[in-house]
Amino acid sequence: MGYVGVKGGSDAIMNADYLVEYYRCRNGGIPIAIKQIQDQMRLLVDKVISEGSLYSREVAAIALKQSEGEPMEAAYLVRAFRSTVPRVCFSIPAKSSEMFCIRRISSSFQHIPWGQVLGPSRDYTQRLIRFELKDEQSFINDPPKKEDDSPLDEPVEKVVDYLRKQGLMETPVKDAQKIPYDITRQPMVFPMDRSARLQRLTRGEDGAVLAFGYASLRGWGSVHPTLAEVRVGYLPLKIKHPYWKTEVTVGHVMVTEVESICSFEKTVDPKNGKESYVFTLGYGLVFGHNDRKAIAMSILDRALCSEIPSSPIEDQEFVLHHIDNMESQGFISHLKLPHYVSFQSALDRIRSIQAKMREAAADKLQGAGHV
Amino acid sequence: MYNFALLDENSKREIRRALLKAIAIPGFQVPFASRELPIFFGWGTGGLQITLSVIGKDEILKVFDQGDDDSVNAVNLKRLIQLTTGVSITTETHIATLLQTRHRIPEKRLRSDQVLVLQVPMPEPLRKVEFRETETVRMHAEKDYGKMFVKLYEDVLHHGEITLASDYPVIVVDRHLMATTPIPRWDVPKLNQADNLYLFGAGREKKIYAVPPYTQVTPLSLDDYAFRMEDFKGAACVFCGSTHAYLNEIPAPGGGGQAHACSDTNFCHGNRKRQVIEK
Amino acid sequence: MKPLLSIINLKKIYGKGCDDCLGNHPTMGSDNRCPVCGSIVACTDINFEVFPGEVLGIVGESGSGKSTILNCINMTLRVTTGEIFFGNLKRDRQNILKADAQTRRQLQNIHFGIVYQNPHLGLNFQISGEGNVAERMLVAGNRHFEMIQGKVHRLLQRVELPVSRYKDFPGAYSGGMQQRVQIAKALINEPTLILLDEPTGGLDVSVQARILDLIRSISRELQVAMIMVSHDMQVIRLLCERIIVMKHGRIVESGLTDRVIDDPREAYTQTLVHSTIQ
Repeated sequence: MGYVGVKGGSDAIMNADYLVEYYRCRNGGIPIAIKQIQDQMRLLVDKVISEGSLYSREVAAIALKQSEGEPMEAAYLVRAFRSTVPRVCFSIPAKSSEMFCIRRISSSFQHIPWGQVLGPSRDYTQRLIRFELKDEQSFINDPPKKEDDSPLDEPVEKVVDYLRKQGLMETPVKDAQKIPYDITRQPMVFPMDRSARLQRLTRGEDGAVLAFGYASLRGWGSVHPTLAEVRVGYLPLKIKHPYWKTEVTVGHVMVTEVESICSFEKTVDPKNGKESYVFTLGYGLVFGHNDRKAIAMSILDRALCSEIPSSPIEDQEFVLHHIDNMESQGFISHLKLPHYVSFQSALDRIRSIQAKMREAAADKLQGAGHV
Repeated sequence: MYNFALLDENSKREIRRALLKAIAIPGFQVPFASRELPIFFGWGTGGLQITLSVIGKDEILKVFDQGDDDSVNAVNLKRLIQLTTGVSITTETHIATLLQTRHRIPEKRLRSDQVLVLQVPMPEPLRKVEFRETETVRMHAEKDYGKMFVKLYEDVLHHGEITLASDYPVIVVDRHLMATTPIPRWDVPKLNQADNLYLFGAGREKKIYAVPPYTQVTPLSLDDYAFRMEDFKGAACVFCGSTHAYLNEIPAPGGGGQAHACSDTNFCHGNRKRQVIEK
Repeated sequence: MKPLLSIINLKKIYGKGCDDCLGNHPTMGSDNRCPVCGSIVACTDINFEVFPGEVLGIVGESGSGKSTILNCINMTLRVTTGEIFFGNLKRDRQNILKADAQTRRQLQNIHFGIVYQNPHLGLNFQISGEGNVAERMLVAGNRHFEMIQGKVHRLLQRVELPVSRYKDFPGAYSGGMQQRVQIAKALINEPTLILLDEPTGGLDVSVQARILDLIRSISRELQVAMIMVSHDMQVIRLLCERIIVMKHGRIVESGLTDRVIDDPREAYTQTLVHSTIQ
């Protein structure tokens, strides 16, 4: 077979495109409805809105359908779409104490105000596959009533606020002048500002955040926290009305928030120079319902506050460079692109060195021969 | 539905500012907030963002990969740019006004009215000897390139020659150490005292840098171990017969052994056309 | 004769410090802590001079601040307050602590050499032994492989490293060999000042003796100034003409070696001398 010219690249791509669509639809059947993905694959959609960094469950569901259920590919589609969506305004900083919780637990205290609300959690279920789901024609239980679904009627006090009232936790200093870093508009420079680190973590790939958080617990970092609070619920988003300047609630987003207590540190009250010991906090916040990502994020938040990293997990460059889905899957995938020109250059080098070695060996033999 | 050249105007402005800074400090890596695009990070988004920020309505665009206009990566990028700009596309190097390339510089010398945009996987030339970004930033700031020269010394010591292959580091205007991207050593001399502007974009690593025209660009070397290009040992392109081009190894047409062909397909085409005309 | 190096009121404190320990002649506690604020006073009120070609010893127990001073001179540690004047700069007698980054690096690479007790601090274990020495020449701007290698080999021969081992990595060397490479590395750019921080600590006695002989012959041959830090009085006596005795970060006594050892004036020096020389 002779050398086939590389003309035809466009045809190859179009055929690959066609095959992708073909594989998606070839077995026929009823196309999945977007609403079904949103409703019955809720947690997968939550993963995609978190990594895609865009709170639209519908867009995420379409992306999942388009990518045949591959969450990294779907998250990429969402991010690319996000780049084209104009930014309208900024919200007023949201207070998570105003959250309407559907789930709220604490590992640090047995009894907390309003009690431990388990919410829709698989933590206590037995992981046995329910084969009856194979033949599910209609939902096993009666469709859930509106009341079952509702979050707690009122926002509940946060455990950390309770600790702050007792002087056990540092009160954050409000810096009205400080605008949070925006990693989508400003270049990443190290060492990163905490607001930039948190943004990077919340959009990070679920598995990567989990793996690094796990490594910290196992001793590669020094953070092994107790969870002050895990809350999942609807967070109201407010903006300043453009004309009337009053606060207006424009919607609610479901988020998971974790505050973890990591260790102690000594602080000095700037007002009176008094010293005391307080708990240090790790913070995690993600779109959607994802306990483990928020917990892992809170561990990493604390770990990355170290000024002098004593392990890879405390090293900002190590963790934050490698935690983003778009970058990691992009670069790994790029290895599939043609690299024959650079490879040719390496072939040239290795042949040259081998030739040198052969010459040197031949010289040695000749030399030996003369003796 | 989409803005001209996909990116919103603010993004383009930011990228252009980074480009101006890069041109003012040849070889210096300017950080920028890289946008997510419909093409994967690692697949040319840096080069693409530069192209989209400088492209004009009347531009004639050429995109090629490893010297080949029809490589799948090049075709994919061309489709996106054309979709969002409507500009003319060409495979002819001498007609193009804006050229985006992956891992090769055209054989034919570019003119002062042409701009070449290169896709960069790893913008940091010191990454081979230092993996911390905070440390490499300091090394560039203080022109502290000792570690890189030590690598050359060790290469010669253990292997008898400098083993750097493609992505050969260069010093620009005797100040900044710069990564040339995985272009072959064959192409490195083209950066020195060129008539055209070179722009380098690393989307995933979020850096932009540049080599303006008529700039001194010197490959890193030791005084007694000079920079050496690839040696094809007199091989010629099996299609056009050229012995003065970078060649790829290919299975010999008609079977039996190895042959070579020009990597720059347009260059090869041009030679063949001229030969036909001369005949 | 003008001094090569002048240390003036050098102070290094770890921690916040307070008016007492940051001031002149702070209160000395029973250890290195400031009794007022609890910060660690690594060294304070350090004043001395080093003249061209002389060998100065700094002696004291662990924690007395000896290594801190060396690291301050070599600018690997940031001083809290104080000045260090070095005589060999183009603009003579400049305070090196106020010099720009370029000048500082020139000092570290060309004018100073340093030998650490722990070879991991002084050597790069990822490159060959001769590469470690060559690195200093490369950083100083030399670019000719053969010329560099020639000079490196000659110096490695001088420090008695076996030729067959030049290409090996430091991890494969014995402790004595590692120190020999460090010494070569310190000397290669012909500095005017060499800092030695317990260079023979942790070595076999016989190896120690040979390394010390090497250092002594080099100092005589090259007339390069040296500051040698040690807790071992015998080492100090062998090599140093003048010594400084330190305790809890302060200088308690100084003078000609023979005088200090034979006729120590301070109580602490007496204890030190008597406890180490049998």
